[in-house]
Amino acid sequence: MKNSPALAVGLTLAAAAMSITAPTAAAQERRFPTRPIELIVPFAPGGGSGITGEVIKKAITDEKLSPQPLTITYKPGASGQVGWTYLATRKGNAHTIATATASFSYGFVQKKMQVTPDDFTPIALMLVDSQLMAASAQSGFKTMKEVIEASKKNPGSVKVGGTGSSGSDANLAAMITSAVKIKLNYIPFKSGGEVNAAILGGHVDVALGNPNELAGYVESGKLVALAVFSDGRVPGLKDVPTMKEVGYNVVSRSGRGIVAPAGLAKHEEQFLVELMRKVAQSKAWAEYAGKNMMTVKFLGGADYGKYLADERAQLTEVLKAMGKL
Amino acid sequence: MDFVSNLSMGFSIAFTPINLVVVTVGVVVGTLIGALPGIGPVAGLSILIPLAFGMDPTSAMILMSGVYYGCMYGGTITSVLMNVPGESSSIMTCLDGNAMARNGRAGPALTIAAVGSFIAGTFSVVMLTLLAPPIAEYALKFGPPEYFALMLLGLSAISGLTGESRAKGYAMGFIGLAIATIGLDPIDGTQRFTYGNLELMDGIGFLPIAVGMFGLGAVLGMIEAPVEIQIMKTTLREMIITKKDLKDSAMPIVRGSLIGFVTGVLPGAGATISTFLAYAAEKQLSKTPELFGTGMIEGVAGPEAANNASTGGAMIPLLTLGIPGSGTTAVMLGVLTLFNLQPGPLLFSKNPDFVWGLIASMYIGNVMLLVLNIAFVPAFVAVLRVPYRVLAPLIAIFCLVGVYSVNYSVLDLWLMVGFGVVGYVAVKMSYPLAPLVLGLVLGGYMEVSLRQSLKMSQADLSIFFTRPIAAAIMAVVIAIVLWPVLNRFVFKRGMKGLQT
Amino acid sequence: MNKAETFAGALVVAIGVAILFGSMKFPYLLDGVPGPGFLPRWIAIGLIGIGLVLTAQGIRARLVQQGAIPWPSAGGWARVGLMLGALAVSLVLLEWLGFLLTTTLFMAVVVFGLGVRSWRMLVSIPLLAAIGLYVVFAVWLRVPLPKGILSFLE
Repeated sequence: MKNSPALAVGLTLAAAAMSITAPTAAAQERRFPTRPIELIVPFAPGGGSGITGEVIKKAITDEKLSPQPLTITYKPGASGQVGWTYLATRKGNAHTIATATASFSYGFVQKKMQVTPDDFTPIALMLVDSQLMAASAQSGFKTMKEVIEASKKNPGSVKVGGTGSSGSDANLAAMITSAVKIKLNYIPFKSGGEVNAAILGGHVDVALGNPNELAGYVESGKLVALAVFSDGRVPGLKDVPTMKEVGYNVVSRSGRGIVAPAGLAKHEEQFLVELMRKVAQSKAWAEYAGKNMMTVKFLGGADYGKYLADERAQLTEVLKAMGKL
Repeated sequence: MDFVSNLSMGFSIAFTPINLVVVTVGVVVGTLIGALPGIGPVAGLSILIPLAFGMDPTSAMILMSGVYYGCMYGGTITSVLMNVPGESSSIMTCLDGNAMARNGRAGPALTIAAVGSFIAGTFSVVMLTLLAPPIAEYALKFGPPEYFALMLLGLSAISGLTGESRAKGYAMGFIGLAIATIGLDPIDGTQRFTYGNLELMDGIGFLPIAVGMFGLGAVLGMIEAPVEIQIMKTTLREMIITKKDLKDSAMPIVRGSLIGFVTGVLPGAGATISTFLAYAAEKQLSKTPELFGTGMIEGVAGPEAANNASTGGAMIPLLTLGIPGSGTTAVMLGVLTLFNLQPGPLLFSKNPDFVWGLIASMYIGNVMLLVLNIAFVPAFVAVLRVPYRVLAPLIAIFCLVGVYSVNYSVLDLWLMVGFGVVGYVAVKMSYPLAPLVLGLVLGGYMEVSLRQSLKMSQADLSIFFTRPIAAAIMAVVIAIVLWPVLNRFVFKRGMKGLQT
Repeated sequence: MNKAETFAGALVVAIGVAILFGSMKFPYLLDGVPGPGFLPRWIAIGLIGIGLVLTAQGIRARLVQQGAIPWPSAGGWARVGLMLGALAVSLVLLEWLGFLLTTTLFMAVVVFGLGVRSWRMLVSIPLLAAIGLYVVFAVWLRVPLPKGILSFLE
């Protein structure tokens, strides 16, 4: 696995050599995509990743960005690892790509993924999202301070719902636990939709999620937004304080991007990067990000690879500090 | 009451030519997708989504929900004719539906399924029309402990009540649960029983096993008989439903509608579990429970009513709370969001034309499905006139393609063939198949809700007995499990109590 | 004693024991609440318990109030074996030959094996079945059925 970049270079050179000697064969090889591109969403339908996928699909369809359609396959399970591990097995198959969230990096750092970052080709970072904590009406919590006090008085009494057992929500809960020195009772659910059902029914006291998953209920008064975990306040949730303002330096950023399996031909990778660049520049994309309180941020290919590597390094540090590694 | 005016506005929207075309396309596609094993409603919808985006949101939603409830009708067809359950919600229809077909009564089975589906589907839309918001609030009362209790109820009802021997039923149920633990642990991602195999990390799907045991098992059962199967030839008279059939099915349809609607409202549990509960209820209430599995029309009518009633129920949390209860409604939610419609309590006041147009279209769609399904009964039944020498391999290949279309996995096909043998032998030895498949379908959900509950209570088991809804369901579960023991020791009926 | 019933009961026990051993390496409790080993262990216990009951019922055969198991005749076994064998061979060949060829061959072999001798039927039924299923699943529903050696026909 370690020498796969060298191998890729070698293959590219070989392909280049072939293109001189046998132009027709190379031209045939360069035809991409030759069939629909399958976008794997490693989470249940209806959650943040699923909707991201559907918007990408819509942008590609509406603005005719690709000669072949994009199809979406949902492969949820184990905080996304089921889907990503599956993707890694499709080595060299550029017709299969997947959405990636922060959980992608968590999987590697916590060594829960059976595969390595080298088994993937980073395609593009598309969006940066933040996280929000909201309380149910039944819980009676109105501010972050009240949650902290309740947990101090009775450790583990506050039930926190989030998506996945090792993704960004679980780790945010752990980060809060260690920064504020309280014990939270984190309960993982399979999808954002299930977290919503649990908090609306009052089965958990607070929920963690991306702003777009929870803000609708905050707006209709069913939930109370307690804090966001970004550097500054989130557009669309101007009244909600950041955790820094509450007095604790807990910041989580989660990028949403696209990854492909390792072993792609150069022209295939380029096609996908350019396709995603066009999606990120589309009007539908800007509209989607604005509506869902996210920021459009595009990084293509190697730049996204560097972003992911930085994210892993940062996560390793955070988790080591918390004693979770 | 302004819902009359709302509904009439809804009908004025649903009756526009474009929406009539759309609902027709939706229910026809849904019926086809439901009938094909493998291609489920989610896959079917994702094929139609590009088409939906070209429409206005109301038409798009009419199309998608047409596919959704059309699927429930379609699932019946292959279950009755070939013993191949297209979706997990049609497993119970296989038991008596296919037995009826083997008795030459495929016509009445399909007809009663269509009638029951129509009544139940319409009932659930009426309830959706009248009671959506309060029912949504009730659904939210179900948290992890209630779900766990409900899954346990479904599993113990089907294991303990439907087979010839309780012990055999429980054994199959436990084996199903065991198969469900293969793959990544749903709570913390530990690999269990995967032996490093990547394909197993995904877990073992329900379809290869259900199609293998039911479909392929039935094929093997069909070809072992040395004579041409004559009974499959159905005369016109046998095809038509009798007055007695209708009378026998009336109450099962009513009960199935209620069970289906009530469980359909609950996110997650939905259609499948309602069919199991409906079947178990019919068998319990029947004067001749020992005849279930040999072609009782009640065993078709109840579950078929239940799975259709669940579709209207499932629309309630989706529309009023924005919570999808199944993969299918989750896709609909994603599409709604793309159309800038925010499901929730405000949807009814902000976008009444959308909501009421959709609801009205569901009335129309159900009528169309009734007409369509009854009209095509003779054509469907004609399939059974194909001689078994051709029909058997044809069904086998049909199972194979259906299973392949889920994951494009050859491993799944081997599993299907392997479980075909298991199913064939199990039927011979009167080990019931349904508990194994139910254990497999519910196992993952059951484990998640069990462990979530115990996290909520910090490992205190009393959480299942102190919350009123959970406690009530658990009481029924305990009654079902302990009944034979009580029967034996308290009523001193001797050894017979252990068996049926 | 009913041999088949006893054997089936013992098999259930064996499955339970295997799961019990397999689940030992997963933690039963994790942070004081049930972990990944919790459910598998209880499933195993349940299987062993029920398996023992079934074995006992099989040994004391009078507890099993049913007639003999209706196993098929020799000809029946031959047909069942033919079907399973043809399926197994098809799965081995599927990715190499592709769906269309495999299905055609499978249908032809099984239909012949089940006693059809008319040449017209032996040619037309397999072809119609293969093409019909291919059109429905691969063309309409876009399932990427294996193309195999026919992949040049795009």
